Amino acid sequence: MNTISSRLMTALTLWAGLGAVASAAEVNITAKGHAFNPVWSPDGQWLAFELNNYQGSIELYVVKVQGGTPMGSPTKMVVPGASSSFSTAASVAAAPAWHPKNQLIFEGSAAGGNSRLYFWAPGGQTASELLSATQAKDDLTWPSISPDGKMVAFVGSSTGQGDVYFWDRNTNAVTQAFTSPFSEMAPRYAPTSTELAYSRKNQGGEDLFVWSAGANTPRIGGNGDQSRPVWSGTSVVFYTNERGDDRWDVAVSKGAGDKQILAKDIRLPQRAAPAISPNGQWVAYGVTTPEKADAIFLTKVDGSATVEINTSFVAAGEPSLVNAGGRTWLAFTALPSNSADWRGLHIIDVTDKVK
Amino acid sequence: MRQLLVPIAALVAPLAAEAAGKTASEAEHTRLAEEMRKLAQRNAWRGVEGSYARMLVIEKDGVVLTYDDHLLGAQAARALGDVTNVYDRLLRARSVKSTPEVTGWIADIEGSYSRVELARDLRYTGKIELTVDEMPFAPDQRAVIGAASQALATNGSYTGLLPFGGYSLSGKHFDVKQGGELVKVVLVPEGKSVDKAQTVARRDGLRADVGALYAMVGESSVDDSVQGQGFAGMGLRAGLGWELQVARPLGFVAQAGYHGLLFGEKGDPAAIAELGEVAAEPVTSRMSLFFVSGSLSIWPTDALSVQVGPSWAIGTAQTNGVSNGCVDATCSAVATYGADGSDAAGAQASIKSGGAVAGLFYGFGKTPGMKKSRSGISLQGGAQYDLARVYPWAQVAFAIAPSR
Repeated sequence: MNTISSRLMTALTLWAGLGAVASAAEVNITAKGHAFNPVWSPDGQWLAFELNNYQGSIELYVVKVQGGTPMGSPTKMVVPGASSSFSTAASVAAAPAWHPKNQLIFEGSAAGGNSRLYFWAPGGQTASELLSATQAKDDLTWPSISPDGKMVAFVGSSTGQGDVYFWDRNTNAVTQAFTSPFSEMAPRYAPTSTELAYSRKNQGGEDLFVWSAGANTPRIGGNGDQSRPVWSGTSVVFYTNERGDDRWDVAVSKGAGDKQILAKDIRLPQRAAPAISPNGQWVAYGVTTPEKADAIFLTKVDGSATVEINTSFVAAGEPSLVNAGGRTWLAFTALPSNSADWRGLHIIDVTDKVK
Repeated sequence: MRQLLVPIAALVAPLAAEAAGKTASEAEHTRLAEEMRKLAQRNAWRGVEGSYARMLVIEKDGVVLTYDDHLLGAQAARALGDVTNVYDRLLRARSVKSTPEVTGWIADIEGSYSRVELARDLRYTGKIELTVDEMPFAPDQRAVIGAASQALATNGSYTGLLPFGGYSLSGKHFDVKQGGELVKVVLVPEGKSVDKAQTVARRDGLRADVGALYAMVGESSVDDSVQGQGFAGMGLRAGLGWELQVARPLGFVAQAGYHGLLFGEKGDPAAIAELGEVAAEPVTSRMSLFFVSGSLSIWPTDALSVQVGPSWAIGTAQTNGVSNGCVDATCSAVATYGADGSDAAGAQASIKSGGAVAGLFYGFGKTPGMKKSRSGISLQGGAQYDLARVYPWAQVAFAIAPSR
């Protein structure tokens, strides 16, 4: 367990399920590509995920889930114009984010076009563009929906570098959150819907900031990147590679300047922020350590416990957690074997592990 | 004989024209369907919408639109954010062929939207503002609410779909619910009853009919004096007046104008020659009347109306021949007259008559330069009677009528 900090080794550590392999339901993916970035809908009835075949196109799928069992084949999200026969450029549909009322927003680019934000409602026919070019031009990325469902924060590129913008659902108005000479990324709303954590690129590295009531406060800096923040109550959980470019840790910050490493050498997800349990107490991750590459770990955000979920797969990672029907479900992606071509998507009941 | 051929030709010509027109419309439908498919492949949905709109026009010529026509029309409406049209076109597509795609799509819409009729009494002068309790997240739903607000601001009314939710129309709260009945909200002036609200503008404006006239002057039923011979011919009838809608769909049209049979038969010079100095010049049969009419109008649709009512006309007529052989200056026709049965002697008379008029109006579109006016054609006919003769007539006219 050299991937877990020695500090955590002394904490109450629960190796629940150690030696036992949890049975997982697999999402039936017929298209070729690696499954990445699964994101549960708030009610746990839908699971969105990306499929990347590393040939330029990233596809977004949504599958209905009941009681942890995927129902039927996933539905592919179609970006209007993405199938145009007038362009051979690849299209992208990725970075799903769910509204509290189970509607989906994601980044999408029609063939060769700008990245824009799209909306899709379960059962709907096709996705539609959330914001017009008149409202917000150029590339729009990193959507984050406020927990009260009234606002969407995103990064726009119209100034030439990423800036954070807000879209107000009630007024349909888009406003720039603040101006800065830096590039901002990965905004994420706090549970209060009034604060925003984000990363800012400065002098080659990313640092974390918190926007609140119009003011920006530095949260965490340091070597390398501190990136992809997500809230756990009033704490911010994030990834950091301060130990080296390819060595990623998951950490928590309880206030400005405070930082606690929760796990080291984690398997950095393609796009996702740290996966936090719905109650905000646990963070899930996979690790790069070969002998533990079949497991997904759950560590309490206060660092008091860690749970290992063994699977029968390889290179497990990209976890996502949700509560549904009184159970806690973990979705993750993994290779079926070392020689497999594509990562599959699996669902495990982890209710008993996160009590 | 010529008198008989003219009305027969008038009857047959429209049938032949209709047959030719239908063939042309079907050819146009084929062209538009192909155009729609190509535009849809390029995601050129405004173009698809235009093609579908033209299809709806030629549909009135009897062209039957297909399932694919309606489905592409629905897809175009969706791309343009008009969910009400999407829904209506899907219903039409389903009426042609029920497919899982269409029924599923209809179910989607019915799972999120319901129909409303929002209007204001014409006497209502307050601000018209639609607000929503909680603006939906979905772009298409927001677009529908925006379109409804725009329609209310522009026309004072909106009939169509709204997403489920709570709304207020200028302070009047209402809910749009799944499976709910049609929601009707009418803004009325303070103290006025909603039940008696007048929400649709009434037709009130100029009514004019100008066109070719075919008229006949019947033979006189008076047999105790010399009478001008009956005749027929082409002419001009022009009526100008006002139409006022009194209650939907009824209105009243009052018109006054000229009714002239200008091109009747000319007298026979040979016959005139036989009469010597009595009638040296051939006389052309003519009639000039000035009429007033008052008709009840019924508008089954916004474009079509039927009118019927009484009319009165005064004027003069002259004929190129007389009958009854009256050679006495006391004859009722104040005339220059000739021998019995002559086709040469002219007769002039004044006419005071009453009668009836009936007509159809079809408006093709707005009248250029006029507000709330529609232009089209009218087909009118009627008859006058002056206790001695019947004066039947028919007219095809360019017409304008008020619209709402």
